[in-house]
Amino acid sequence: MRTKYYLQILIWTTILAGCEQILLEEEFQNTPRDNFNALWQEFDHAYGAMHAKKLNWDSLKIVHGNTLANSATNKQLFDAMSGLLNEINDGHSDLTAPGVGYFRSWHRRDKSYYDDNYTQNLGKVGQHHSIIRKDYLNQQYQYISVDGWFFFYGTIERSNQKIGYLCIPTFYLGNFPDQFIQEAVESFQTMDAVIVDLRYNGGGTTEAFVKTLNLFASQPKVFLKSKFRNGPGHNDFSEFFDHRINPNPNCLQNMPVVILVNSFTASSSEHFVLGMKTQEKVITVGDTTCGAFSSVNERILPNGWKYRLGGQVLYTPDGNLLMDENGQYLEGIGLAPDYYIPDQWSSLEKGVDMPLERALIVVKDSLPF
Amino acid sequence: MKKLSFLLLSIILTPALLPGQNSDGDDDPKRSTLDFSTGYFNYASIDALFSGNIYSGGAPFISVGYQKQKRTPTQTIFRLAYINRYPHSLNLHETVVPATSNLRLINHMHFEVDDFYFFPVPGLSRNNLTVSIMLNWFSSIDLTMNNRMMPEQLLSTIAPGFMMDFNHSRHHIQARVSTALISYTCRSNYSNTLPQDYEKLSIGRFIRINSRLQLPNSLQTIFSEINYKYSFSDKIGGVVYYNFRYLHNAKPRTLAAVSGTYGFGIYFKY
Repeated sequence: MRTKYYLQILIWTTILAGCEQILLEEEFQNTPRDNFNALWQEFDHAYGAMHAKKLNWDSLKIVHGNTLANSATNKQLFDAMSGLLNEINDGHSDLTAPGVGYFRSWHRRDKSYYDDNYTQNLGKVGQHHSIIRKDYLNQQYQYISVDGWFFFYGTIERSNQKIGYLCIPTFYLGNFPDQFIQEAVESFQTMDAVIVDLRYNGGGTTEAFVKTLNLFASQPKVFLKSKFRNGPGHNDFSEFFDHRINPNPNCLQNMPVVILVNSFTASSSEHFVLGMKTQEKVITVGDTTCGAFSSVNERILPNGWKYRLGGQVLYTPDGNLLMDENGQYLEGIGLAPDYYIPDQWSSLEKGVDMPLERALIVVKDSLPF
Repeated sequence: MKKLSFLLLSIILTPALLPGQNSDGDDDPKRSTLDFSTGYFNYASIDALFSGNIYSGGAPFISVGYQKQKRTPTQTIFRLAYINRYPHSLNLHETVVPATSNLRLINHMHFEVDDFYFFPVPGLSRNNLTVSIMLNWFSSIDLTMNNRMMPEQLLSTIAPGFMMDFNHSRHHIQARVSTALISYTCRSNYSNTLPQDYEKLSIGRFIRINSRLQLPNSLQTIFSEINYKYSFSDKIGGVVYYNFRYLHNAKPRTLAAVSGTYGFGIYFKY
């Protein structure tokens, strides 16, 4: 009798061993409606710019989700979710559905890399950089290749001026080559001006861009303020967080700087631009930047689809929302350049980089600022 | 940074250093017990800061315990486990979530210090059965090693409860249960953003801005354990146990975690 009793305990212990997790329950199951609701709710609870973008999120749920049935196909679910995200227009909000599609909320998502030749082929950007090295740096340049990203710098000589040129293709590297950037800055100290090329630089880590910013900026300043969502209400925010420039002791000293930007200059690159624009003698040339400012989180829906959203909202150093002159929050809109010169492939084929040419003219005409 | 690390370690280790084992002048040479155990540690959680999905896993653990029999018996246990936790119900595509992503795999380090003070209740104790009111000071560190070693949660809690102790010949069975009353916790902020002091991530700043005290209205726990000891002699014995814990923390977003520890080991009395 006693043996039977012990055996029962042993059997139940074995059955229950490792089953503690049955006490946990996921809020959303893998059904089309639950997947849609999971996406909608996470943005409702955590997206930073609901009020800044004047979004009526409850209404948008009805508009895009009400007709979605649990029998919906993946394509129908993807379309419903894409429709919802499209309302946001945010360079950092996107949805990746393997085998179905990729949707970026950014309204300029179909924009070409070049104004006169439709392409979103990074190979063309590689050719573009080769043209700069050949026709502007005369193949005299320093470089470092990190995880396939090609960083390079050199000197452009025009009208008895020596202008330093540095191409930073990304900040998205754990092993960002800050030593290489520092060497570039040291070599620029005796020049007349510097051009920093951030075209196609889609951003990366805060550590990387801040180190770079602190090498190029010589005046310690707050260049941005931000708040983070800290509750489920659309107005639940943290206190202000100051984004500061702390110049590196070996930073570039009081030098005119032109930053080349385009629509694919995003995220950390845009923060770099905002930081540099607090400094004197800094001009931007090119196209309006992407408009992807917020820090971003990746999350997974119950069906395995990935999406991203930002919980941050950005303010100017004096505490006003980061807006353009029309009162539109800049997430998804981007930073307008001081000189609007879009990239032209036809010119590049002739060895002429239009934004870079304008940068050289700006430097020539404006020195000393 | 060093000061903050020291502060954190102090919070975690203080319970272990405070038992006051020598305070009652006890001179019985065999009233202290040292035990070593190992076994399997299961852990599962839903951390809304990170995901709406369950991430679960299990791994072997090691544990060291020290027990002092005196007027107010005390016990201190250290336990360490490294666990790989995987999404419970997600079908993740390689091209969407790379193998190294913590959305696919959480490298989780769990370290805990469990400290107990027992106050026997004479009216409820009979023959071989002892019933005690128990004060459990539980501290744990749960780090996500592949997310820059950021904590899923730092916890230090005072949890009152009950303990029942049954002795018969060489057999010894103990059951105990407690629940958190007041707790110190540290988790990521609501937006799950890492604080960065400009050039580098700052664990010190993480702790400074994300620490809070919590009461049962926002943090609830059940800590329980049942163990069986068999004395081979008056100096040495064996032990098996099952430890179950449930935690629900509503701040800043819901964390529900459950763990089961299946252990066996050996103890020495001296």
